[in-house]
Amino acid sequence: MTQATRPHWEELREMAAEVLEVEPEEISDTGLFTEEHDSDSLRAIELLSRVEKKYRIELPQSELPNMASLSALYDVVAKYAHWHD
Amino acid sequence: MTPDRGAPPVVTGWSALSSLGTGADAFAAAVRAGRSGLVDVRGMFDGGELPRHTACAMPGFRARDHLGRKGTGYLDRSTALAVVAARLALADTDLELGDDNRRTTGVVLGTTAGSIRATSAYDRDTLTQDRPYLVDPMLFPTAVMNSAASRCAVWHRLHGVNATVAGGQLAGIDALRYGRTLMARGHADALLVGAVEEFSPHMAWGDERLYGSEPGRAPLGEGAVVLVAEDAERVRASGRSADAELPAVAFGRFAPPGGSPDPGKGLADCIDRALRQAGVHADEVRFVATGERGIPHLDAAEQAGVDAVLGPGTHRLRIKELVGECHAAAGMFQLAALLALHRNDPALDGRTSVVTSVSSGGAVGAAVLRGFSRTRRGHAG
Amino acid sequence: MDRRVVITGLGPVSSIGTGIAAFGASLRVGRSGISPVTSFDTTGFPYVMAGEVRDFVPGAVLRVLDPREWGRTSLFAAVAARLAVEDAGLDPATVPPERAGCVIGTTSGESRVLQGLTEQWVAEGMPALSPEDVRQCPPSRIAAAVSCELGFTGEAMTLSAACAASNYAIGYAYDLIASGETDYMVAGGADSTVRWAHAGFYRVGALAEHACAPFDRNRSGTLTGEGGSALLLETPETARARGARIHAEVLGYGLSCDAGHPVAPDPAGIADCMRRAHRNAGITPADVGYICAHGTGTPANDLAEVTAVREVFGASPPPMSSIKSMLGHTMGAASGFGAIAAVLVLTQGFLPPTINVTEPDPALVPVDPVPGRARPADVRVVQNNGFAFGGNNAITLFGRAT
Repeated sequence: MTQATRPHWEELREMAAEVLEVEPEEISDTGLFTEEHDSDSLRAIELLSRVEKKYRIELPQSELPNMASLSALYDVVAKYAHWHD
Repeated sequence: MTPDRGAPPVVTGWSALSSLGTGADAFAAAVRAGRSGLVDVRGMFDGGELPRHTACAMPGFRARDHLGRKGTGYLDRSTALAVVAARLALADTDLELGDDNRRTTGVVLGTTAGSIRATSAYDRDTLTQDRPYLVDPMLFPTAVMNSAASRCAVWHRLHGVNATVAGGQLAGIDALRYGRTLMARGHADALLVGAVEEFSPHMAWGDERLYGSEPGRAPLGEGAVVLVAEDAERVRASGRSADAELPAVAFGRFAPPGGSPDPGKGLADCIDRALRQAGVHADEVRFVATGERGIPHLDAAEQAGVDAVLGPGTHRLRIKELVGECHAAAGMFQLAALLALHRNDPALDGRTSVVTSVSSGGAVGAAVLRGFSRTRRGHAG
Repeated sequence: MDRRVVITGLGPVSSIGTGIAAFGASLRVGRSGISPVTSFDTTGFPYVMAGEVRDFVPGAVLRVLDPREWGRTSLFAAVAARLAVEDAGLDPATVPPERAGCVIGTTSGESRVLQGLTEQWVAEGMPALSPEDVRQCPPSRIAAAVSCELGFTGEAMTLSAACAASNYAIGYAYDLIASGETDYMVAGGADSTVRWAHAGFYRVGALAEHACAPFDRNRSGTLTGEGGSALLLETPETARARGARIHAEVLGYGLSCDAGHPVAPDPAGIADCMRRAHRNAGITPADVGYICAHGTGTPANDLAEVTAVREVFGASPPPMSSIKSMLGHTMGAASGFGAIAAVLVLTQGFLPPTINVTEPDPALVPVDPVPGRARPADVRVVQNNGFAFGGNNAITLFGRAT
C-alpha cells in the first residue's frame, strides 16, 4: 500500500467501526467482521450502503460476501472506485 | 402456563424515565415535591426550529450513557427510551429472569405511532438523497412501529409475547387491558407492560398545528414507563409482595368530546364498571390520576365522567402539570404517579385509586390500582 | 369454561378483489394483483412493482364514515369490516354496542398520511404541516374507524406487531369472546403501500424486481402490498340464533418472540410459536391439513419457515402455499388475508396456489408449495403463519365448522 491509499484505508476502518459499533482501533486489517465483531447481513448491507454514499459508487449486493474484512472491503471498493495503488 | 387464571396481575417493580429523572425513586421524589420537568429545549435538535422554547423533555438523554456503545448506534429515541426503562424496571423488581421463564415473559408496549421522527426521516431520505433508495439499511426496523417493543425483547432476551398497542392517549389503558388478557389466557406468566413517547420537532409542530390556539395546554413531554406485571398467585406463592394490584381496567369508544354518544357519560360508565369489578365503593377511592391537559373541551368530558362517579373525598392528581403531555405514555405516567405516592408511604397501603383517560377521538378508559409501600415489602422480605 | 368462537363474516379489500366472492375467485385461479406503482413517483427506483389496490372506492361501501375525514389505512379497515358484517348477515345496530368491538393490526398505520406530512416537511418546512393530516395520522384511528362505522362501543384496539399484526388481532378477539368478556369482534388488519417501505425492502435486498415467487429456487424477494382484511368473530349461539352461516371455528393461537435479530427470522422462534399455537388449540401437528404460509418470497424467510415446519411436522408436513405470491406483502393485513384464505380452504375445499413458482427450491423439500395452480383438498384444520420484523411471531389455527 502506498501513502496515497492510506487515507482511504483509514476512512474505511472508521466506517466499519461506526457500522459495527466498536472503536476504529478494534478493527484489524484481516479479521472477519462476523467473527470478531458479531456482524450480520444487515450490518454488511449498511456498510455497503455507507461506502456507496461516501464514494458515490454503485456496489452490487453480489459483492457482499467479498467484503468480510477490512482488507477485503478495501479491495472491492478500490476496484469500483478505480483507486490505483 | 395454565390458562384462565382468575386473579388479576400484580406489579412487582416499575420504572419511569422522564424529564423528572431516571427511575422510580427519582420520579417518586419529584412527584412528592411537585417539581416540574420543564426545561429549555432550544438547540435540542440540529437545525430544527421548535414552536416553543420549553418542554418536559430530556435534552441530555443518550442511550449509550445507559446501555454502552454496542447496539445503541441504531436505536431511534423511542426505542432507546423503552429499552432503558425496561432495564430500570427489571432492576426494580425481585422477579429473577432465567432460561426457564424468559420463554414465558414478554413485552406489551403502548405507542402513538412508534417514532414518527424515525419513520419520517427514513421517508425524507427517499426524497432528498441522490437516489430514492439510498436509505439507511440499519435504520429500516426503526421506521416500523414495533421497534421499541421488539428491541426490549432483544436487549433483555425475552422470548414471550411481544406486542405493540398503538393507542395514543389510551395506550396505557390498552397495554394494561391487552396484557391482562394475555396473562389470564395463559399466553404469558410475566410481562413488561409499559408505554413510550418521544419529544421531537415532528411532535412539537404537530401539537402546535392542532392545538396552537390553546394557551393553557400542558407542554409536551417525553419518556417511558415500564411495569413488571406478574401472575398474582405465583407471586404470593413464592412469598413475595407487590407494589400494586391491578384489579380492573375498563374501556369504551364513543364520539369525540362534545358529540354523541357522550364520552363523558361513557367514562362514568367505565369508572363505575371498573370499581364494581374491583369490588370497591366510589367513596373508598383515594386518588384519581386524570389525563387532563389544559385543553378545556377535552378536559370537560373527563371531568364530567370523574365527577359523575367520584366524590369530593377523592383527591385529583394531574401529573401532566409535572411531566408534560406524553401522549401514548400519558396513562402510564398517571399510573406511575400513583405508584410513586405509595412507594414510601405505608399510611396509604391498600388504598385504592383510579386512572382515567380520554382521547380526542372519544376513546375512554379507567384502571383501578391498589398500592402498597416498599417499606412493607422490606419487612416482608 | 371457554366458549367456542366461530367466524361468520369475511371482508377482504385487496388487489385481487374486494368482497369474499371476488377474492375467493382470484385465489382459486391464482390471479396476480401486482402492477407498477402509481401511488408515488418511482423515478430513480430500479424496481417499481407492488400490490396496490386500484379500484378502492370507500364511499361505495361505507354507510357512516365520511371518507374525506379518514386516512387510507383506516378506510381499508372500515370497508373490510363493513363487508365482513354484511357477509355475516349481521345488522350491527341489532347487537348491544358495548358487547361488540374490534381489534385491527397494522405495520405502518396511517402511512400514506405520514408520507404526505413528510412531503410537506421537505417542501415547505414543519410550520406548514397540514393540521388535518396531523389529525388523521395516529394509528389508533384505524380501530376507531371500524367501531365508528359499525356503531360499536366496546373494545377498539389497534395492535402493531408489524407483519404478524392481524394474527395478534385475531388471537386477542378470540380470547375476548372465548372468555366471555365480549360477544362480537371484528378482527383483521390494514396497511397502505408507501415509498419508504418500498425503498427499505429494496435497500436490504429483499425486494423482487418483477414477481414474488415464494419457495422458488430463484426467488429474489417480496413485493409490498396493501389492503384491509376483516373477519367477524362471535359464538356459535349468537350465530345460530339469527340463522347465520358459520364459516369456520377459531381453534386457538400462539405468540412468540425470537428476541434475536431485528430483521432476520429465526427457525427456532418460529417452531416455538407453532408448538404454542398447537398447544393452545389442543391439536397435534398431524391434525393440520394445510399451512397458509407467511411465505414472503425472500430467500431467508422461506428457508427459516420451512426449517421450522420440518422441525415441528417431521418428514411429511402438510402442503404449504403463499398467497403473497398474488397479493405481495400486505404487511399488517397479511395474516388477516391468510385467515380469510384459510376459511375458504375449509369451506370450499381447495388449496390456493403459490403462483410464479417455475422451479420449486430443492432445498425446501419435502414442503409442497402447491405451485402454479390451485388443487382440490379435503382439509379439516388450517394453520395460518404470520411473522414479522422484530421476531414477532403469531400463528392462528382454524377448524371446519362442526
